[in-house]
Amino acid sequence: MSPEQARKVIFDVLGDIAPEVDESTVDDDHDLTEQLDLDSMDYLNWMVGINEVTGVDIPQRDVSRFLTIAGAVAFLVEHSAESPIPA
Amino acid sequence: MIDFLLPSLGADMDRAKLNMWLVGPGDAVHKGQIIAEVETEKAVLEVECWDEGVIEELLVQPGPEWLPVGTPLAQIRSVEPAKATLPAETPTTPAQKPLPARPPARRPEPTPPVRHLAHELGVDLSTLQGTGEGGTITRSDVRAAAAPAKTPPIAIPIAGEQRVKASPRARFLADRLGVDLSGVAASGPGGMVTAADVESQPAPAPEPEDKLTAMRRAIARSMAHSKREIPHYYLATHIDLDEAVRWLETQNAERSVSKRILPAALLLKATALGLREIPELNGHWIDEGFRPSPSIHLGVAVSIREGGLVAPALHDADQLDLDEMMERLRDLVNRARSWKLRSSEMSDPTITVTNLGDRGVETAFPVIIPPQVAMVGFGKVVDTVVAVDGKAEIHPVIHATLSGDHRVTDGHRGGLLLAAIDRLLQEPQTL
Repeated sequence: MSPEQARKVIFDVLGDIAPEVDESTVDDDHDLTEQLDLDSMDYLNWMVGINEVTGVDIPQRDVSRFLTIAGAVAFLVEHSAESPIPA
Repeated sequence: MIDFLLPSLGADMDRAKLNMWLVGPGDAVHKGQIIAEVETEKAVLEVECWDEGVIEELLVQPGPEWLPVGTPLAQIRSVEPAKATLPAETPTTPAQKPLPARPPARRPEPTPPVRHLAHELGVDLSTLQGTGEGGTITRSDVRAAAAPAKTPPIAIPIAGEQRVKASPRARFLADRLGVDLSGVAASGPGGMVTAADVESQPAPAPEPEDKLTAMRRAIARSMAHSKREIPHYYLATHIDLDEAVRWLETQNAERSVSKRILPAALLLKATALGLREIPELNGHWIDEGFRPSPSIHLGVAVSIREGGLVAPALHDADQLDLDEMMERLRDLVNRARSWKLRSSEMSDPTITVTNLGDRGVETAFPVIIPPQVAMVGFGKVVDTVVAVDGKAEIHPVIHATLSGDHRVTDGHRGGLLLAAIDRLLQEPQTL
């Protein structure tokens, strides 16, 4: 998965959870839960959604990488080769 | 003949609009079946039926009029289950329509969690053969029947209403700007309306009152009532979560992301079990007296992203295991945020829990939601220096609070609930 594809998945899923979010105003390196006022349930739903779309599981030890868009994109690029997107 | 009335929809919610019927004349209905959708000032709610029978007549059609609680909405021809075992003595009247086959009566009633699961999964309990003791229907029976038996309710759409394909952001913008999606030219893939399509529409005249304003008014009414009528007392204590957090990390390390358990599930379960020990905090103040509830239906305060708050019930929370608790909590929060709750969830919480820790708050001082008589608050989990066997250690600690109604309990009883929650959280594996 390319960084652009990862980014698209990340924001598509985020759009279901926080539809008011405008992608152009999100800082890739800043804590997402603070920026977008996500609670723990939103945050979990977002990771579950990404997992459903990409097939990439997000182990508990890597959850903190999803605190920023940059971290989430990097994680998906690294791990999508192991779990290709289901057809 | 039974009049199906617009049910009570929660504290200070005394009216609703009928949005849609999900059944029509001649349809068989059963206990727990969702038969209509109504809209209150706080939420769109699915209304359950609490009788068995056949819809004789729909007395009210969907429309924008406010209907007071108690308005007859439909007439249901009741079916006496006992008569099913005595067919010879039951005269058949020509007016009666044939009913679906029913199993013989007199088997043990399924427990409330089983009925709830059946409701959630869309399983008709009357069609199941129980494998439990004495033929009791178990959760496994319901789950086994769920996949093939689940059928969507038959919606009777309001004339002219069609689901328009649109992105979530387009829906959000359309709702906020008051734009009718069906009138927007779509430029997205597969004829989907995009956010840009919505933004290009001329803004219509503002509605006199939107959903959020109505919700704020309902909260104002309920909270003003609470502060006027309920003599609150407030208690607080610190709870060491070292055991609970470590246990949860071990559990979650082995689980896929979709099966992960949040600390909130632990806090809710510990509260529900604690309430079994202190039943005076679980119930309602009605007609100048306390009515304890035999069931523990935990109201869960859910904040709405655009502002506002609802506190629907997790039914029989003390009987759920942690996986079920987490599954139900996710479902409840998601439906609350999409304004899709059920009437019973809004009307029957027996106590409410608020967890403001997610928003960085260390201590919450809850305002009791009438007619409930207590509310539990949890703050943020904070790494804190604690004394363990005379040595300083850093543990995750949470601030738990209780607001109680002094007409029903005193601080001593309230303190026992917080102590029970603390004790239960020290043994997370038992939750």
